[in-house]
Amino acid sequence: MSFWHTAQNLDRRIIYVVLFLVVTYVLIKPIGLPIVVNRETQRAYDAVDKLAAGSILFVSADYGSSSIPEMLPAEKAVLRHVFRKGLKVIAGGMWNEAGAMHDLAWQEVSKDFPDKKYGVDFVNVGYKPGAGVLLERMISDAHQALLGIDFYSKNFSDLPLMGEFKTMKDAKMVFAFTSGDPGEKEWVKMVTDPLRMPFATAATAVAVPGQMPLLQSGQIIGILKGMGGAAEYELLVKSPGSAIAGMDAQSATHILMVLFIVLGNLGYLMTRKQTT
Amino acid sequence: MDKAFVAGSVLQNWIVALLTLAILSVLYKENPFYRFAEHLFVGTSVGYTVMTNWYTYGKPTIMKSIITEGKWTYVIPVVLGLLIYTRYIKNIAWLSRYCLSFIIGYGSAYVLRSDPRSLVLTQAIATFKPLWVAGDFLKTVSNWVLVLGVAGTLTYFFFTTKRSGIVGAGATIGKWVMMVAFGSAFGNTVMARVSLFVGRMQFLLTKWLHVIPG
Amino acid sequence: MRREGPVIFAAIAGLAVIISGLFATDALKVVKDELDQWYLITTAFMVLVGLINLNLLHVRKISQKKEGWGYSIVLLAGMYFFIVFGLMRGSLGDAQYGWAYNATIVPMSATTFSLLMFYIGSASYRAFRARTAEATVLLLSAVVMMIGVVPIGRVIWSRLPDITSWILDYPNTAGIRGIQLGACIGGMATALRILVGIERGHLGGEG
Repeated sequence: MSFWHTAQNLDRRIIYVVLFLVVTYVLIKPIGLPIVVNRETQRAYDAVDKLAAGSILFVSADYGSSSIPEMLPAEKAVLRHVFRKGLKVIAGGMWNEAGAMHDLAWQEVSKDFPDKKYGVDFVNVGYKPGAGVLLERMISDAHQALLGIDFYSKNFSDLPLMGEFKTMKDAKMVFAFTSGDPGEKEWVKMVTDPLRMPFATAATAVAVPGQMPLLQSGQIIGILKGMGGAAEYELLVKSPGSAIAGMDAQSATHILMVLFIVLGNLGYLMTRKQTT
Repeated sequence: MDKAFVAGSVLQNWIVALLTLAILSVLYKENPFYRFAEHLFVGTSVGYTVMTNWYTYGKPTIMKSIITEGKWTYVIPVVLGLLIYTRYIKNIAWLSRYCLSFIIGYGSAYVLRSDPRSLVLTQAIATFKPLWVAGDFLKTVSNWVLVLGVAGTLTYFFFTTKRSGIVGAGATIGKWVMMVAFGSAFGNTVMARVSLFVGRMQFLLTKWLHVIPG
Repeated sequence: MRREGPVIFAAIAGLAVIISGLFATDALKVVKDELDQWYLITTAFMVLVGLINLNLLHVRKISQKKEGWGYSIVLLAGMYFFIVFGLMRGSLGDAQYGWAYNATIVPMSATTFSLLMFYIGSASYRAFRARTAEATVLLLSAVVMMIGVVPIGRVIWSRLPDITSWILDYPNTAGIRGIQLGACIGGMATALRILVGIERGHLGGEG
C-alpha cells in the first residue's frame, strides 16, 4: 500500500489522539499569540459604553450548557463592563437553562463587585416559555409576562430594580448571547426593530454566518464571534479569562485540522494520478 | 459534609471529571461507562426541564395568578395545555389537536405579522447598495458581489423555469456564492466545536488536575 | 368536529393576532394580551410529553428485560432525582439544586457536544476532497476562514483577517441572506396555509 494511500486513510483514533495531545499541550504551554480586537466586537463594546449610568440593559441567555466555553466568558466580560459603567441588568432568556447560565455568571462576577447587590443592580428573571410571544408580551407588560417571580422564586415586589423595569421599553439596550433558535431573529422582529432599540449579540461561532445579514442591515450593532469574540471583549475590559487562555489552543487545533485536510487531499490527488 | 456541597468543591469537581471522562471514552469505543453517562444525561436533562417549566410558569400560574390574584381565565390555557396528554388515551386522543392547533395557529399568525418587516423587507432594502462608489474600487466590487450574490442565490432556487439565459446565469452566480458561504460556515463550525473541547480540557487541567493555575 | 374544530380554533386564534396588528384599539389590545398569556401558559403545561414518552419506553424495556435495561433504570433514576429533589428544594435557583445541576447536566452536556471536535476533524480529513471546482471553492473558503478567524492567522499573514472579514461581510452575507429570504417567504406561505386550514399535517392521522 503506497504512502499516499495510507496518508488519506489514517485510522480515526490516530487523528483523535493527535487532536487531544495538541489541545492539552498548548493549554499547558501557551504560545502567547496576540489577540486583536475586531471591528464587530468593538462596536458591541462601544454600544454598551455609550449607555448612561443607571440605564437598564436586558441580557438574554439564549444558549445552553453545551455552549458554555464560548458564551459564559463573553457574558462575564460584558457583566464586568456593565457594572463598571454603573449600568443595571435584567437577565432573562428563551432557552430553558437561561437562569442557570446567568446564575453562574453572576456568582463569579459579583465577587469582584461587592458593592453590586442582587435585586438592585442585577435581577435574574430566568427562562420563561413562549420564545417570540414572550418577548412581544414583555413589550406591553413585562411583569405579567414573567409572572412576577425571578429565577430564585423571589417576588418582583421584593426586588427594587423590577420597580424600574415594567416593560421592555424601560431597557435601553438588549445584549443577547445566542447559539441557535430561538435567538437573535426573535429579538430583532419582536423587540429591537419595533422599538428601534440598540441590539448586540455574542454568538457561538456556528451561529455567526447566519447573523451576518442582520449585522449588514444594521439590525445588529455588533457581534462577539465565538470564543474569539469573548477573548476580545475580555481584552477590552482588561479581565483576562478562559477565552483568552483558550485561543492559543484554538489556533493550534485549527492549523492541525487544515494540515489533516491538506494531507487527505494530497493523498487523494496523488493516488488519483497514480491510477490514471 | 457541608463543604462538599458548595459550588466548586472537590466532590463536585471529581463527579464532573468522571462524567467527562466517561463520555470522552466513546472516542475509543462504546463502553458501559459511556452508556451509563449517556442515559444519565438524557434522564437528568428531562427532569431538569420539567422542573424549569414548573417553577418558571406552572406553579406561579396556579398558585399566584389563579389562586392568589384570582385570574380565573387562566384556567382555560391550563386545561388547553393539559389536553395534549389525551393523545395517550386512544378514544379521546383527538382532543389533543385543540392544544396543538392553538399553539401552531397562534405561532403562525406571529410569523405573518412580524417576519415580513424585519426579515424580508429590511433585509431586501439592505441589499440595495450603490453599484458605483467613486474613489473606492474595492467597495464597488464588494457591493456588486453582495447584490449579485443575493439575486443569484434566490434565482438558484427557481426550479419551475428552465436554467438558461439570465436565469441560468443567475443560478450559476448563486451556486458559487453559496459555495463560499458554506465554506465560511464550515470554518466557523470548526471554531465552535474546537472551543467546546478546549473548554472541557480547561476544566480538567485547572479545576481537577491543577496542572494549570486558574 | 374532530378535525374541523381544531382548524377553526387555530384560525380564530391566529386572526386575533393579525387583526390586533391592523387595528390598534384598546379593546383588541386587551384581548391580544390575554391570548398571549394563554399561549405562554399552554406551552408551559405541555412539557410533560417528553417525560411520559421516556417513561413508556424505558419502563417497558425494564419490565421486559430487554438489552440495556439496566441503563434504563439509570435514566429513570436521574430523571426522578431531579424532579423530586427540585420539588423538595422549592426553587430552581436553590444552591443545592444548582450544585447537582452543575455537577451532572453541565459537564455531560458540554462533553457530549465537545465530541464533535473529534468527529469534525476526522470527517473533514476523510471526506473534504477537492473533487470538483465547486468543492474546491468550498474547501478554499473553509481553509481561509479556519486560519483567519484565529490569532495565528494574523501571524501567518497580516491581511488574512481582513480577507476573512470580507468573506463574511460580502459573499457569506449574500448567500445566507438569499437562503434566509427564501426560507422566510416559504415560512410565511406555510403559516398562511395553516391559518386557512389547507395545511393540516399537525393534526396527525385518523380520528
